[in-house]
Amino acid sequence: MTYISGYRKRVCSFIRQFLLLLSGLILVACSAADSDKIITRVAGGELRSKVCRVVLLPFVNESLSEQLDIQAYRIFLAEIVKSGVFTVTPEGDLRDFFYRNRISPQTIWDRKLIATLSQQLDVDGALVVYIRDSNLVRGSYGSKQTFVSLQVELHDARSGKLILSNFLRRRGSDYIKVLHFGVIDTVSGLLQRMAREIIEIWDEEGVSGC
Amino acid sequence: MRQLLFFLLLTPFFLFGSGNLRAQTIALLPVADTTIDYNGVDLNLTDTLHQLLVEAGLTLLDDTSMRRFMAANRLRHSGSIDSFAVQKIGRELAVDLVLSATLCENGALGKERFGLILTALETVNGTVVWSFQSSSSLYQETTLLSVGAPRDGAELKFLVLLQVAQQAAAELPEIVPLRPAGGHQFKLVDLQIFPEYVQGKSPVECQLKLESLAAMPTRIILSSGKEQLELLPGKVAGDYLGHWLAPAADGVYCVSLDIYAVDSEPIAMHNYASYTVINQAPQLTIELKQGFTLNEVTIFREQLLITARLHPNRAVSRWQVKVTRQDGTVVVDDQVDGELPRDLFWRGWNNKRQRLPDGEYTFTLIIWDAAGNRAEASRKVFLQSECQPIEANAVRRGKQNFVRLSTPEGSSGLLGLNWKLQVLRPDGELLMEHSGSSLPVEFVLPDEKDVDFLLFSIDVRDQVGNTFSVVDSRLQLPESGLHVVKTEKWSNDF
Repeated sequence: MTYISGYRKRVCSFIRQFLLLLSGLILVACSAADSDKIITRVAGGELRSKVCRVVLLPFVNESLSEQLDIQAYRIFLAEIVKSGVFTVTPEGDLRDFFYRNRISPQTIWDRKLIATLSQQLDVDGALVVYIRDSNLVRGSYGSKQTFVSLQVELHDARSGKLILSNFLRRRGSDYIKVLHFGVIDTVSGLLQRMAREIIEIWDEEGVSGC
Repeated sequence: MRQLLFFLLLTPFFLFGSGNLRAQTIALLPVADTTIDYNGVDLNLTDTLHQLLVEAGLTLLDDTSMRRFMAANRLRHSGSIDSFAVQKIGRELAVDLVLSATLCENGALGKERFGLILTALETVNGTVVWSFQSSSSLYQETTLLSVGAPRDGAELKFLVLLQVAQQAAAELPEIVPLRPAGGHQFKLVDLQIFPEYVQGKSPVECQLKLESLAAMPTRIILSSGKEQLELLPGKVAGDYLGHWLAPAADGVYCVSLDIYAVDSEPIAMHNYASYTVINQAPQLTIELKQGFTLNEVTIFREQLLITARLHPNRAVSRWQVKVTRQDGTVVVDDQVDGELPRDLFWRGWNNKRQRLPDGEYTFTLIIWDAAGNRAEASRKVFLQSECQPIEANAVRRGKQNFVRLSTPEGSSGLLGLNWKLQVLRPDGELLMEHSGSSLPVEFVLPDEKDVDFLLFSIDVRDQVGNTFSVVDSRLQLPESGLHVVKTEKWSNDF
């Protein structure tokens, strides 16, 4: 009997320790997932405009990573289509607009130009993304992690006015669940998650008029 | 063994994909490789993806037809595919969907990462209807005990491609073909208004270029302000021309089009171009720098810097510079087409690049704005490349000798002069030193009885920088009466 009760005690102790370790890991995972909130600014303090058909204006790449603007452009386009929150104008239609109006893709967008774009492409929202930074940062145990900083602006294309502005900075390790699982080791994967986060926020804000 | 396990784990994807076979034809565009350049294309990857999509159960158009279509329609890469081109692919190649793939990550040698985006556009209206992205790395794919994990970059690439292909095979057949929205049978390739800036009641011309999926439109009505006219077909199919008179009042006039066709409802295209009527010339002012302005005349020595300002600021189509003498003779006349430079320089040369003689001239700048309105501004300038001479005289009044500095009779005296005078004994001893800017002026000479002459030096500088100097020149002391030092001995000190 003594032997059995000792064995039970040891089993119970092992289960208790295992549960403690598991709850600890869950806590760590939860804290990692909610590391940074997205800063959202609503122009004028109140959301009035709703958009459905959006056009993605050429992204502005301020990072040192070449071609990240075109990669991020197509990732955002893909995520918007996947989300179903908005409908998107094909990239080629925007190129046609540039050609037809003799505008450089690096043009500075003002309200008047966005309004012209709205009329010609029949869109009610214009998305402008600034890639503020993208690089590698030192992670735990000397590992290197990718990070991206983005500023995303949604304009009412009919008036050119800003509707929403978001800023977010994410690292691949922000999405770790347990151990290394969930880590995002690719810039494109990270951009995909960030795009998804922003679209979810916009959907919650009630911007979609589709 | 490890590789076998990896492929065994992926086998169910193939089996699952094959079950959803539908009679839907899909065209795959060449994979855009954005990891190399903005418009890079990876044809090997296109072939692999094509094969995987077919193996997953999708019906794909052959690569050759797609590439031939792209070459014929000058479509270089997937980024240049617009909704009209997608509709055209649908009609001419009989496909339901167009797949556009982008390689967005491709690392190697220790940084094995791979990312691919696949986007589907339906060919009825040319809209984006589906999209899927998969990105991964060897580090990200690490599993417990490395079971089924890709070992190298090639396996990782295959895994990502397979995921994309399987997702496409599972979801694309679910896309229900859309009904034509109507009104997108045409593509406005180009619309140009000549000229963009006009004076009121001047002729304006319109050139329109259309592409059509079916028959060309029966009627195209152009509207601008109160003006409405029908555009007439040009010599080339799809070209349309029209001309009218611009309204009299100033303003920006937008151009809209209404396109009528047999098989579709009228299409309205608003604000596709505009032109501006300007009847008044801008106010032109010129500012002259690198000179000295006196009584509204700018005196300069080597060159004149001319800065022109327009108010309101407006595009300039051409400009002209004219320089005339006081008698009205034109010595410089130059006309240039294009924008007015920020600064102009005039070195006092004529059209043959010969230096003009010193004297007064009238500098005139004339501009024509983009609408053809003329504005003019003139300034009087004086070219002075030599310093005004100064005469030095020794005079005796009573028992004292004086040295007198003055300008010769008949000199213009436009500019103020700064001078410095030194008088020395013949043995080099300095007797007196004076400087000033006013003329004429007299100074008492020291009483030197044992010498009959003194030495003097003068440095003179005018306000535009011309200088003269006289060094150790002889000043004969008068016994009685006057002695004049000849100015011919003076040297120009440039």
